[in-house]
Amino acid sequence: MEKYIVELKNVVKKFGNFTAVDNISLKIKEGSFFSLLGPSGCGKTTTLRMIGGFIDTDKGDILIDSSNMKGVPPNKRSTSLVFQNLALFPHMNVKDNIIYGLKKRKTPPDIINEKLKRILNIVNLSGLEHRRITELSGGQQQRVALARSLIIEPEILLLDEPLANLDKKLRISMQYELKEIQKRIGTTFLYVTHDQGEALAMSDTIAVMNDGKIIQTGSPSEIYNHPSDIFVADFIGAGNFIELKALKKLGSKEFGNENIHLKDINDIQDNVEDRKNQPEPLTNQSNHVNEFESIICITKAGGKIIHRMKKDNLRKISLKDSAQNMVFFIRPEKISLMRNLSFKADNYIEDAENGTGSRFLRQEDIDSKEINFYQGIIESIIFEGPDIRLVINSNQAGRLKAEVKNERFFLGLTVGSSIDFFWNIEEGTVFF
Amino acid sequence: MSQLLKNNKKLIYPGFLWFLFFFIFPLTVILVYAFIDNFLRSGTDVNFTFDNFLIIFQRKHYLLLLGRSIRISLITTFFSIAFAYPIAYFLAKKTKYDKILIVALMIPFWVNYLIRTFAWKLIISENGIINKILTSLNIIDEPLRILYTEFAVILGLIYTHTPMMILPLYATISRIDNSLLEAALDLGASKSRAFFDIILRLSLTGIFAGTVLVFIPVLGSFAIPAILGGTDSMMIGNIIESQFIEVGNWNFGSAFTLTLALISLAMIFIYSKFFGLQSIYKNQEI
Repeated sequence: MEKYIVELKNVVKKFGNFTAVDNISLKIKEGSFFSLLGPSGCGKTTTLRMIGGFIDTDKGDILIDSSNMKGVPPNKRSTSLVFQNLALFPHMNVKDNIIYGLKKRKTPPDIINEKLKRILNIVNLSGLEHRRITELSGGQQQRVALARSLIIEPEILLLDEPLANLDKKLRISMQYELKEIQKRIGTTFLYVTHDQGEALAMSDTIAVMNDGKIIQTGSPSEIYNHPSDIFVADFIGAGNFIELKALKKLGSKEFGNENIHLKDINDIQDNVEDRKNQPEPLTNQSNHVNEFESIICITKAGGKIIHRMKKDNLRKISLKDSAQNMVFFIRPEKISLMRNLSFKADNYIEDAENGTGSRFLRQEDIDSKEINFYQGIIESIIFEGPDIRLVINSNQAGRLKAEVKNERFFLGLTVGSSIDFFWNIEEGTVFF
Repeated sequence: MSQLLKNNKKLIYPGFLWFLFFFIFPLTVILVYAFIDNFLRSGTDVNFTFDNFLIIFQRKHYLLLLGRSIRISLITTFFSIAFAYPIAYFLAKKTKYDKILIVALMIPFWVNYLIRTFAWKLIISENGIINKILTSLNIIDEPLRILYTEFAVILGLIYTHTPMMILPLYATISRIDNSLLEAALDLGASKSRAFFDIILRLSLTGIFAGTVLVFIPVLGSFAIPAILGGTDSMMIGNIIESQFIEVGNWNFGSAFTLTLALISLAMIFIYSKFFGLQSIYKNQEI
């Protein structure tokens, strides 16, 4: 059985009338890299400081290693905090900063030296122990703060946006380093950040917070690919939100059936009611298809998007009174581009021959109802080095952001040229 | 401001003239008078001499006064640190009304310090408030003799100079980041240990600045010992004052003034060595 090193049970914290942390419960696995991710003011730092013992909880319990931490001061907890501003002692050199905690624990000098040597090695600061703090670079100061906390061997290392003050390149290299150190020493890291890229890159588990609540907890790929609501989808990465006015059901049999039965959202509800009363009819289709169902989303602009979703989710939607405020969400990089068949057909075939012809769609693919296929006009192009960002306007799907890799295939694109684009019907999410 | 000065160097002239006339000029006069044996008047012979200084160190009376002045200054400085530190710490870290309280602290300065010193006279005299309360409570039979003692002088000096200690201490303590204290606690230090390791250590510059602001003026003070002190609690300031105003021996007065200035400088120098201030300043260049 897996061990949870930190457990929060219905923790509440109020500052005056403002509820900073609103009934939070979470469990952190021992040895994992856990991130609290959210916009500023969402309560993530308050949560971290409550675990560290700097703030008392109003309600609820915090368990560390299964023992309740109520009334236990920071110096008696097996946590250590790396502060956002690092809080290195300016009047001490690197060595004195790092061994401060051991000295307060009355550790014998030979053990202090031994541990110092080891930790300097881990954080790659050997030879700098007699430097003043002010003589160090930002990244080195960062590592001193880390070493100072790690040397007392806490069970949980709390990190409060420690990379926020570094420049972008250094931040990314420190992300690797942090993750590497965490793996090597096996200490549980609880990391607080508002930077979604940072959380995605380092974490084993991410809890997304907003307004004092945890919205979604999961692995980075779960959070990114299957956001549970619009807030998470919008906060983590970019996305297209297409407003819908109705959902209709695609032919209940096989996909690709030319005979599409369009039904009202109410019909789906009826269907659910029916299904509740009857056992699932056995069909010769695979399980996969049984679990999923395809629907047609009618956009506010009148376009159609085919989407295959889990039946469970479909049932939840169908229980809603109206189709108001329904949104179809798809990330820009899920949209694939291909050049209009009518546009420079020769180049197109050439690309196909050169092995980059994956963007060549056969008519039967388009007809299969496995993809959403549209035509649009490029409205803007932003070249970002590795990526190219585009805004495409199409009659059926509206204005969409798309993101493609910087490949030769796309270099000839210009604003105003027409383009075909598509995405698999399993991509995207319907929020309601 | 500095940019303005950089581009218009002439702006510095008024300040420079002020400094020249009211600081450099008087200092030069004192420097000259201390080493001559007469007034600079036409028709008199003026000779260079060290006699003015020799008198100070030959007469026991003056040495005694010098010693007493240094002692009073040290005691006053020590107690003003002791009183000012908790107040400054409270203002810097424990209240959000610090700005208002600082102004309140300055209110007594709106009244001339001589008048405030006379008020002390009323409080500690033989039939003053303190003695009245103590006798009516039957704690003492005879009124205590507080006024005209060295104790009264020290009391008056601490009273007038403690705000000078509070201000620099407040400034340094409030600049210490709270997260440093939290970090010390987090790493396992007890609250008192963290206070000594972090707050006290990082406020040494404030203690130093406050000491300079208190010790030097106290060493040269003459009004408070004249009002609250008796004949056996006179300070060097009183001698210098009487040499200039009553006796009219400017040469001796100037020599004494210079001696006092040199003693102050020397003590501050030793003090800064003792505190290892260079290293503190170096470390605080963040």
